[in-house]
Amino acid sequence: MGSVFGQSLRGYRLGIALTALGLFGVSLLVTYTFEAFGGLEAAQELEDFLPDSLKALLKAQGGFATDATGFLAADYRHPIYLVPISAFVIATASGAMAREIEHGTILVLLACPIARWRFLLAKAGAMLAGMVILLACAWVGTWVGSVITGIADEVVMTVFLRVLLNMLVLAMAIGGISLVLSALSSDGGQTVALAAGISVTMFFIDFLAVLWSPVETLGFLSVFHYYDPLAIARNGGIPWRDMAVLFGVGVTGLAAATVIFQRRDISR
Amino acid sequence: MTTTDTGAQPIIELQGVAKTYGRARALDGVDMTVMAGTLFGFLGPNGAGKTTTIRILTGFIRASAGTARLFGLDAWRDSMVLNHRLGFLPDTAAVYGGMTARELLDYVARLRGHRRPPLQRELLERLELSREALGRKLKGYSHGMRQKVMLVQAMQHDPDLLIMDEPTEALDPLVRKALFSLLREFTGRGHTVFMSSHVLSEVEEACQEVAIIRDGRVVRTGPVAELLASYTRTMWVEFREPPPNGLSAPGVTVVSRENNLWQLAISGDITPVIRELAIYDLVDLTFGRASLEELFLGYYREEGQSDG
Repeated sequence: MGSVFGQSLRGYRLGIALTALGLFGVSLLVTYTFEAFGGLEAAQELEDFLPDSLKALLKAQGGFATDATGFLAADYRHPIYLVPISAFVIATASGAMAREIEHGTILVLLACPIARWRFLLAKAGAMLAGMVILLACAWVGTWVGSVITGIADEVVMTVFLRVLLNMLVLAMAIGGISLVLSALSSDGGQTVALAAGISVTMFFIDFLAVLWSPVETLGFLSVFHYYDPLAIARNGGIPWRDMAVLFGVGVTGLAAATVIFQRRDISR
Repeated sequence: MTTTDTGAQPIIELQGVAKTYGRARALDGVDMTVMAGTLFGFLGPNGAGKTTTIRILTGFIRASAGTARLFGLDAWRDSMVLNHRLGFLPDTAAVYGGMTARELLDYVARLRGHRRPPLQRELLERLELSREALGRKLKGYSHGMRQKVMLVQAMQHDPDLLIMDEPTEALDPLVRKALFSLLREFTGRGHTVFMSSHVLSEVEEACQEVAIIRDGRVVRTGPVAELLASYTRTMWVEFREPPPNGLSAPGVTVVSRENNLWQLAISGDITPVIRELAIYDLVDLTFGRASLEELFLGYYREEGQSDG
């Protein structure tokens, strides 16, 4: 199992390195932008100026420019963070089974004495390790940015650990759904398209639920409903209920993918 | 159907194995037994069911009906245990292009619990994979070179049973020769080889036993020599004076007579025919040597005729 884990992680290394660099850069830039705009006062002016739709995108209807931590936390809801993380998760999950089956590379591996469930767990483990590296780089970017721009005293970095923990379980939930699709398919491209389609649809369900009262009750159907960095910055602590839902989706997805993969025929 | 009677253990046993995909029937009751120490050829054209049978044997797909057993264990349920004793070469030389050949071989060896697989060095030498070649990324390899690497990964741990789907695909004649020599040594040590192919001359040369699959059913199986002996071959004889009462040797049928040139169909032992022909004064004699190809095509001609 360790060999599959190590080999998978090595296979992801370029993707991880580039995405991690991007997330580090984005975090650094966002922190720099806060200071470059003119700090908290400018952020509050920006808040007044922003249309409701953009506030809904960041889940910042109640305002986000209370302090530097809140401003930076709200940005962690921005698609500039969510898209790369989701893309990494979807790409690795689809590669775990569907693409291996499509390319035929899985045949050599599964002819070795390794149980299918162990193979899948090793792949999921490598995906999780990749996510942790990406999120750690985003956190380091925020920290380095706050130090460089001289706002380190105003930014509570432990808040971002909690935000990123929330984002990690969000990524696990997306990963769980993607693994189910990957276990069902023998076509990597199709799996990526489906998983991306489902993720984008869920994002818009959550966005519309915030913005438009007739669909408000549907918000709970989206995994993004359970990811609210600004609430973490405002309220402190860890949103255990939301975390549990996302973790549950992720683990259920992994369990379902394992059962499907264990029983399915390996054929193109 | 048991193919040998040497007292050896059956390694592969398929009984009534069927596989359906929706309404399509890929296998329709395959029966076959392969004994230990045999180099077994599995013949059939594309779409006959060779790869489906192999994937059932390797536990990749589950039979819809029937039983598939290796070493007495169920191919699907016990695949994890069986894989310890198995070497497998898939029909496509699918490799991780970003890996070097050395990395791939070491990766597969680790998955099998080996640090230094017992046959790796010998296989690399005999299949002419140099140290320099092993250090190159597989994406830069030719199809034939990839196939050589895949052969090494399948055999390097000296498995009790080697299952190969079209192993000679893309190999040059010299490497093919080296491979068959390796396989003969392999079965000489009591291991078993099950290989599918559509290169009939190679199977005829290398394999001791064969099975022919047609439309998802095994239509013929047995030792190659036995199958060839039982097959009807053609002989053309030109007499100076044709036999007035025809030919009476067993297994001979006169297919056509054109002046003094006779076409004969011969089944079974050829010796009595030659003895009888020696009585007569002959101008010419041409004998079509029975080949596996002829036998194979015979089955497929029958199919064409029965299809109408």
